[in-house]
Parts: sequence; structure tokens; C-alpha cells
Amino acid sequence: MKTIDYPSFNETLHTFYIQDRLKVILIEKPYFHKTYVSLSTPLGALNTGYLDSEGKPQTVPKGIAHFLEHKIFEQDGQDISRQFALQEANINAYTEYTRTTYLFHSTNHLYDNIERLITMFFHPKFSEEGVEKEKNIILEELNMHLDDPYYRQYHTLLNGLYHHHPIKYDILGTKESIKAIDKSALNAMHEAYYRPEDSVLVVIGDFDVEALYQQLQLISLPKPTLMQPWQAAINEPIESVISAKTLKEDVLLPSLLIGIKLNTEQPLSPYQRIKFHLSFSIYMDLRFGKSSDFYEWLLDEKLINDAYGLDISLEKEYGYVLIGSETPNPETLYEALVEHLLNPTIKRSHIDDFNRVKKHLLGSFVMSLDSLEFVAHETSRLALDNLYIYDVIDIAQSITFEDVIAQEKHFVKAALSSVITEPKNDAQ
Amino acid sequence: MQLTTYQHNHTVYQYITSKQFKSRVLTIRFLSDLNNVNPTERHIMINMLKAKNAKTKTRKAQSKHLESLYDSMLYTHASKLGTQHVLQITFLFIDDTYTIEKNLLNEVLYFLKTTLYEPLFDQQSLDEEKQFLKDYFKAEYTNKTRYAQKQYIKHLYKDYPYKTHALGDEQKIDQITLDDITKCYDEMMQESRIFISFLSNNDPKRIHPLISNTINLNSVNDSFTPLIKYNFKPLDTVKETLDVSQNRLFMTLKSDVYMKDKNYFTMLVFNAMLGEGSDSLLFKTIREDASLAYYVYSSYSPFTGLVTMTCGMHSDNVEQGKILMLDVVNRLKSGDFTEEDLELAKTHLLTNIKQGYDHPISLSLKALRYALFDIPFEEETLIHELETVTKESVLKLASDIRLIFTYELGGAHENH
Repeated sequence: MKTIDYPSFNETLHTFYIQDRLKVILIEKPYFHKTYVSLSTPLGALNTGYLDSEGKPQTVPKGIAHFLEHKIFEQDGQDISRQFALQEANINAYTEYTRTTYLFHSTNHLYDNIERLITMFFHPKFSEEGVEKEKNIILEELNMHLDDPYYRQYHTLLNGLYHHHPIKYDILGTKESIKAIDKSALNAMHEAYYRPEDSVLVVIGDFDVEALYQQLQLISLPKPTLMQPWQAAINEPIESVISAKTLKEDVLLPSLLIGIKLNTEQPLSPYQRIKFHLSFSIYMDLRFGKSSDFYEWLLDEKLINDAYGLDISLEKEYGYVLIGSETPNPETLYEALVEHLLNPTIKRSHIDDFNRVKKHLLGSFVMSLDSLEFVAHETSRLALDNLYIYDVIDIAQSITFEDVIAQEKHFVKAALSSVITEPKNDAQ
Repeated sequence: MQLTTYQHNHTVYQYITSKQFKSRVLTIRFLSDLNNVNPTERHIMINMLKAKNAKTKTRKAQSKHLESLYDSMLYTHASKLGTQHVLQITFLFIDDTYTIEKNLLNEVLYFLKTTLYEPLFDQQSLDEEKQFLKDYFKAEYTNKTRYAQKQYIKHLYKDYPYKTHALGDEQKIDQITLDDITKCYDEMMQESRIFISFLSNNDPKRIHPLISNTINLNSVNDSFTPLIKYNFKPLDTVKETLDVSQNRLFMTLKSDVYMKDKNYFTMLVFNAMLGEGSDSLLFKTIREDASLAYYVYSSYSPFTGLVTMTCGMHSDNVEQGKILMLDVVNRLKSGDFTEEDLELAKTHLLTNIKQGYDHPISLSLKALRYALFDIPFEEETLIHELETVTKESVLKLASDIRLIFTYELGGAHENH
């Protein structure tokens, strides 16, 4: 077991492998009442196929990663979450584009609950009846989202940005693809992707590290499988599909969402990707954040309200930035945002702002360490790249003003798309 | 973790001492009778207070200042708590063990003092906040789950004071003037019941003089009733039509058990068994067994004694859903549940209670509930109260529970 102390944050991390296969990260959090445990696999909504036992690529219906996430809780037709609950653990799961995570937080019986989680994760037992019953539940989940115009605006934007990349598809799939999922496809995808070698177990809380380390050595892991992960090559051009689209929705306020694909020109190492993400975040904060001149101008011009926000997504497989707001005048806001995006204004005189934003990054990072959910999420995300959450702040501190200015080059007008949502004529 | 309470100028100061967190949280709450205030003005005023002040005269300057304090966060919030309308100012900041500059608490207190005593109420800020609030009300319609919830509340409480929206009334926004804001501010500062909490690892004895002398607020000293019991009458079913993918259904149960009642903890267990979480009977029956819905749950309001069961399902399934939901209630009333169901509900609540001590911001609400309603702050006392709940006590309580209202939104779709 390797132990790393982070005295600047008063935190300690331990890492080891169970049977040289499953990576485990333990983080000590003295005085916390709950222990937070997550187990992640790099199967996300982007993965739409696998290699079968003969090495042939097989495609599966969209939404299968999310469907699996729902059905893992089933053991021979029985929902296993009750067993967790009886031992003071609340279990849940979520699917992202690049991974699926199962988690629980418990106040007792830590080892028993971890053992149950690992068994559930690696050894589910699907039934035909259970799979069929789940379809209606997931269709209702999709229906719930489809009643949210901003959800539709976001997905319309991704479809306007991406030609071929599977990020354009809803994590839940479509009504048709959900209905097409069956037990054999679930089993195949599970076998291909839920492998100890690709997964990571994260445990955070106030517990006896040495005792847990010893207990975890006894965990039984599944035998290696013949199925393998597979992803069709994606040849995504930098240009967007469509520059602008307007939706007529049952809303009372117009809104605008702009997206722009990020092109890093060459593949980045995990370290470079984090540095790029942080430098880019600082750049966007300086130019579009709430302490920027531009934000003040947008407010003065009454082009935005307090729903204004920006979001940066950067993974190995894709990268984009979103900016949006409710607005009485989406066309004018569009013109203003695009002009500001494409005409860099950062000057050397902004160095004080840069130093302030770095302070703000440090503060928000340290305070976020109080959230076990955040620490677990980031730890398992970074673990897939062999980095730890505490490395992030060191990378942030190494960023120079020049690194930030260099981010200007990432905006290309052709990579931009936008969606305006306008009230339908008969909206209430 | 320890709670220490002092009073200074009738203001209640609650110090939550813990070594657990890297954040510090200072919360100031101004309470006034819901019946005697204009929530619209109060919501706008507290947000203007947050936006800028005499020293940081623009929103931009305010944001820059907060960023320079290591991303300190200033939140303002208006809410309802029993008979009270609550204006809340929360300041979240980093423990200066982790920063180069060390006197962060002094800087924060100075900033809070400026925020409280040197407001900058100008026309621009008023116009912006009025527009934000108008947009907020309009945006409630965008998300149909949120809109259904709003409509449900409107119909359910239409004859009761609880119908007041914590953020006020959309129709009253345009009438508000700067004079109204100034008057509203003066009333908040001079006529409120004030509760302050501070979460840190500092010794309360040492920091209380600094905090109380800096903030130095005078609270009114009166006895007040934070909770009033209403005799909610049964209402006619309401169904509103809207073109949605999924109908939203709400069913209201009346319990007559309120926060300070002796069977309050039994009521918590009843609700947990009914529909709180994925191990509840509603979840198992409606979602897992019948596959009718993605979400279904119940929530208990200790300020009204009402329990709301809610779910989203296709219009074709709503009638079956209603029958099954009432079946679950009847199962609880007739004792058709196992000791394991009861144990599961208690364990669920016990886990939630323990985990509630892990969230810096929720701790100040725990402290306020202790001050107002005598709900114990200590984990052990709460757990002991839960352990005393038996199947017999749940059955006795359940026998008085009855359905008083059903609300549904949707119904226009035919295709699945």
C-alpha cells in the first residue's frame, strides 16, 4: 500500500491494488460521520459496442450503459438496494458520457457494504422479466427530461455541434433504442467493460485504513473475460453541423445557448489536459465571469439575467464550452457573445485579475474538499488517468499568465453552434 | 461537534465547533411574522444587499472582492419556516490555515458589517433585481415538474396563510420603489428576531466577543409562536391540462402531527416507510413492481402536518397509479407491513440524521431548529427518539391519516 501525505491540505491518501487487478484509493477524512464509497468503470454513453469472443466488433443499442446502471441492482429479479439499506447504506448510481459510477454512503458496516457493492458490480444476474420491466421505468425517466425545454435545448445544441461523435446522443438513448435492449446485450456489455483492471474503488471517510486494507485483500474478483471494450473510430471535423437553430417551446422566456467545440490540435497527456482545462477556465473567467467587464456590460444592456452561466467540458474524447442565458433579446445576445468570443481582449494589464482568479481557484478547491461526493467523483475520474485530486491544485499553481493568453487560439467561428429557444405562440 | 449558545442584545448566537471542515460558515437569519411582511420587497431587498454596498459599489467590484477572499461565497435567501418569513445571509469562506493571508475572519466580519450597515440601494440595482424576480417566476413554467409543484401548492393552500410564496408575488414587483426597499431594510434591521450561527473550529468563548461586537445586531425581544396548527379541510380534486410527455400527480394526506408534537418521530418513520427513498413501499410498489414511474416519493411537512405523495407517469397509467398509491397508505393503516419494513425506515432516518452532520451549511439549520422548536441538536438524542418508535405507535398514528386532496397536471398526450 502506497501512502501519500498532502500536508498543505491536511489530507492523506492510500492506494493499492486488490490481487494486482482492481485499483483502490482510500482517503482519510477524520470526524466525518459517513463513509463515501464509489466504484467506477469506464463504460459511458459514448461506448456503443464491444469485441466479441472472436474479436469481432459488435454494436449495441444507444443508452445501454445507462440501462446497465439501472439493472446492476438486480440479483435474480430481486433489488439488492434493500440489503444496503438494512446495513445503514444508501446506494445510488449515475452514468456519464465516459463512465458509470456506483456509490453508497454508509454510517456502519463499511466492509460488508463494500463487499456487497463489488459483488453486485461484477456479478449481476439479469432476468428477462426484469429487463422488460425496466424499459418502462427508463422511458418515464426520458419523458420527465423531455418535458424540460432546457434539456431539449442542450441536446439540440450537441446535435448542432457534432456530426458523428456519439456525444450527440442522449445518455438515456432514444425510445426506440431503449425498447431494443435485451438481456444478452446487457450481459455482453457487462462482460466487456465491467473488468477489475479498468475499474477503480474509492473509499473516503473516517475509518481504520489498515483494517480495511487487510479485509479488501480477501475480496473475490471475477475471472478475466473474452469480451473486450471496443469503440468505432470517430472522425469528427472541427466545424459544427449547423451554426444556428431556433426552437419554439412552451416557455415564457426566450433563451440562448451557444456551444463551441474545442480543438487541441494534438492528443494531450492527462497532465496536459488538466492544465489546458484549468488555463482555459481561468481564461473564460477573466473574459466571461461575473467579475469581468463583459458580464457587467451584458447586465447593463439588459441582455442577460441571473440564469447566465458558462460550462466547460473537457475529456480525452471531446471538449466544448457552453455559454447561455435567458434573455429578452437572443439575437443581440448572440451577436455580443460571438463577437467577444472571437475578439480576444486580454491584455498584460489583466495580470492582477489573473492573480485574483488563481486565489479564487485555490479557495474553491480547498472548500470543495469538505464534500465527500465531490472528492470521490474527482478522484475516480482522475484515477483512470493515474492522477490524484490533489495534483490538480499543483497544476493550477503552475499556470502562468502566458498559458492563459494562449487559450485565445482555441476559438474558431466554424466550430460554433447555437440554439435559441423562443415561446410558442400559445404558451401560457 | 458541539453547539454553544450565547445572547447579545437579544440576538441568539450559536457556535458550532468542529474540526471536520475546511470551510467556515457564518449565517444570519432575520425572522418576521409571515402575515406582517411583504415577501416580494424582502426578497428583492436582501438580494440588493448582496449585490453591492457603499464600499464595493458595483456587482463587478463585489465579485472581485469575494474572489480575492479566496472565493468566499455570499448567499442570500428568502424562505418560510412555520409562521415566519426568514431572510438569510450566509457567508462561506475558507479556513485561513490553508491560505497565505491569516486574518481572514476579521476581513470577512468587516465585509459583513459593510454589507449590513452600508447598503447601496440604487435604482439600477432595484431594476435589475425586479427583472431577475420576474424572470424567476416566468422560468418556473419552463420546467414542468417545477411548474406542477407550484400549481399544486397554489391549490392546496389557497385558503390558508401558507399559500404565500417565500419570494413574494409576481403581480407586486412593479409597484416596489426605492423608498419601499429602504423601509423594508430598516424593518429587517430593527424589528426582526435574529439568529446567528457560526461553524468553525474556534473556541466560542474567544470569538463570541469579536463576532457579536462586530455584527452588533439588536433583535426584538418578544415571545412568538413559530408554528400554528391549521385544520386543513378536504378539497375537490383538481386536474389541469398541459401538453406534457408525462403527467404529474400529487396526493395529499392529512396527519395533524406537527414538528413539536410528541409523535413527531413516529410521523417521520411513517413517512419514511411510505415513500422516502428507494426502499420505501411507494417506490417498491409503483416503480419496481408495477413499472409505472421513474420517480415516486412522499414528503412530510412538519409545519403543516401534511404528507404529499408525488410521481410522474404516463396519462394512461394515472388511474392505476392512484389506486396503488392509496393501497400502500391502506397497507400502513392496517398494519400490513413487516418488522423489517419498520426497521428499514428507522435505519434510513438514522443514516440521514448521522449524515446531516457532514454538511457545513445544513448544520446551521439544525441549530436554528433547536433554537426555535427544541429539536435536539445532538445526534444521540435524535437517535434515541427514533428508537422508541414501535409498530403500534405507527399504526395508531396511521389510523388518523386521510386523503384530502389530489392534483394532476397533464393529460394531453395519447402516444407512449
